[in-house]
Amino acid sequence: MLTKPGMVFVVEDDDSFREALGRLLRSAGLQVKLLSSAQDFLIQDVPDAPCCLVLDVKLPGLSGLDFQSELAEANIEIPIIFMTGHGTIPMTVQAMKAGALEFLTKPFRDDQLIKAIELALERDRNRLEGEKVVSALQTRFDTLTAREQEIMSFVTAGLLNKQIAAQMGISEKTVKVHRGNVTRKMGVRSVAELVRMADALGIRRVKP
Amino acid sequence: MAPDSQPLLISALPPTRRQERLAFAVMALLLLVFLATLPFRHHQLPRQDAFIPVVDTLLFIGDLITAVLLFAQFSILRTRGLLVLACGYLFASLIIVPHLLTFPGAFSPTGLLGAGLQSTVWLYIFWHLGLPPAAIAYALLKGTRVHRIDTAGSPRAPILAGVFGIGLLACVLTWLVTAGEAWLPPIMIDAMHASRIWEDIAAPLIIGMSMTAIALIWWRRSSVLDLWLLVVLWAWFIETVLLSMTAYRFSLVWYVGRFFGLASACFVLLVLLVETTTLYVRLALSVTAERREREGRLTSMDAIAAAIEHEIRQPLGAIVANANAGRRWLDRSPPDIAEVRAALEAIAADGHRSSDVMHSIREAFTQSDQAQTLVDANELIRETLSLVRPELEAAKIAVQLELEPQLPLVSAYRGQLQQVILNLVTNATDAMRAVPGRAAVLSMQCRPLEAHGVELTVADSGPGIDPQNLERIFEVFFTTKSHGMGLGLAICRSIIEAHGGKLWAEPGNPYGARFRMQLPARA
Repeated sequence: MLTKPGMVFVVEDDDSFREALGRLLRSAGLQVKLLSSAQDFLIQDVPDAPCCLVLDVKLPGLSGLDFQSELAEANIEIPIIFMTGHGTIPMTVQAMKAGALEFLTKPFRDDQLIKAIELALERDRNRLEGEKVVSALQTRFDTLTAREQEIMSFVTAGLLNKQIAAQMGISEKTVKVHRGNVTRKMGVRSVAELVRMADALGIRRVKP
Repeated sequence: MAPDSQPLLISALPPTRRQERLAFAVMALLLLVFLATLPFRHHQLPRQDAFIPVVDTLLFIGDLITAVLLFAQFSILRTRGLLVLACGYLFASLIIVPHLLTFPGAFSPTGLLGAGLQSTVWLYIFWHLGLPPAAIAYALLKGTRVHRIDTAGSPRAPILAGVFGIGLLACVLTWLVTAGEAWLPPIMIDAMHASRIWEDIAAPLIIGMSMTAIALIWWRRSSVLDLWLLVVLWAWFIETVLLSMTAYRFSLVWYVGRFFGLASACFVLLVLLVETTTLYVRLALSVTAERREREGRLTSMDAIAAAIEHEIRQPLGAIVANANAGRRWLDRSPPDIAEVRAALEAIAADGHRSSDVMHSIREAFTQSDQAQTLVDANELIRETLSLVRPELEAAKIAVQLELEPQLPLVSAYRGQLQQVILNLVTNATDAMRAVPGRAAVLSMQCRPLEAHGVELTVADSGPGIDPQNLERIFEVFFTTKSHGMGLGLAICRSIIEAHGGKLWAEPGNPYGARFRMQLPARA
């Protein structure tokens, strides 16, 4: 199912619990990186593969919840599964609101954790694939000239050639030539397809 | 009722030296006034009809309140002596009512209730013959367990019987002196002066009774109440002596005598009220303190329970995870025996770890049932260090001791204190392991405090504590350690605070961390 094997980062300060988690996750065929603090995670190279973070709520230095919001601020999107030895409801609510996938209280069932990790990796894979599609589109979009890019945004906003020509102060014929180039370079067959691309790239204009 | 819970009441509480001195001073003062009055004993003063109503009203209220206070004491202590004394006061207060009503000139020229010439003086005699016998009975009945009314029953029945009996007695006597006046020997010759019967028979009788009561109470006195009862009887005695020296109403000694009765009754009532409210305040304070202590204990119990839960869940979680991992490695084909073995070994290690945690908690708290002992902090430090000597040597940690001699002794649960020191030393050892480059030095100090106590310092040359975490490290779930062991700083602080001390952390000099602990010396 996975194109590339996923990577599970376990951040847990308790030595023996961390080792136990490593042993368990490896037995489930997962690739595991064991870390003892949040700072250690920040200096890691995150591979170009689906990843997830199994995080202890209480950590030396930076707590798990603080770390979660720090990652969000730094725009690092990685699914997080929390573990705690003593979970309180407000703590759980805060973590889940901030986008945590699961909140497990120690000791927990192994399939609970593994299921949560599989879900997290799946989600991260989808996110990565989406990012890849967008970046391919972006490469194609970058091959358009400035004028062609402008015409693409007008076309996807639903303007007719005549209206585009009037807006840009050029002849309708020139618009048609540019439009042909856009269709060819972006590799689309219909305006509908082009609109979807513009949406993904975030360049679609609203009809003036 | 257990005997040791009684002495909170003034009828059971022994008087202090100060109270005794005050009471005897009052008695001496009364005697002085009496002696000062003697030269003027034949001096006649103008007749004041308002005097008796005012004095009688005050006496009535004072004696009634005293009776109520005594009944209240009886309802707790249930001794017959108290009941008799309370009845005596009740009689004194009730008999004042007809005395006042029948006194000639108070409400009508000859007195109300159809009073004759002899009515009011007989009431006065009954009145003053009431309290001394009650005091004598009180002195004879007091203290001995045999005379205690069964404490299981309600105190209401004997109190009601007493009140009813005294009320009836007062009514009968009133009827006797008014309707039956003719049968009584005449004492008053006219409204202003008395015959020899007063001086020769009635007054000596009252004086004799009072003296007997004084002697008995003096002999058997054991409580604050006894002490002030003595003052009352003394004043009562002087009043009668004064009045026996005059045959005339409204003479100087007559006025002074009545004043004596009034002053002593009011004074004793005030003392009773002050004593009662003081005791009440003390009781309220101690209840509040007890409640606060109980709440404090609950809070620290909460902290301890949470810390234990935390310390146990960690190895428990690891055990479960390892067991699951081992099963999964076994289920593989072929099974990975090496991984299974590693998982099993880890399980055993975590099992030992949880057992160690339980052991250290037990060490710290099993002794809390026992009494505190006097602890020499220096000796405790040396002993604790000898326990961890092998680990310190293995970690190549040098120990620097600065123990000042002549420390005040600390009253403490020795085992708990030792666990706290052990915990601080272990923390320091772990911290220094994290800084391999530096020479590892564990320094411990012990010095007396100016405010009568002992200060103990444990400092290390480790990485130190982030200043913003100096307080947080004492929170239950806060940890900067990679393996939880021992009690945790939250419990350490609970223990020290339960000993009335303080525990806090500060940055070391020039580096490292320093934990300081202050304990009050034995009171």
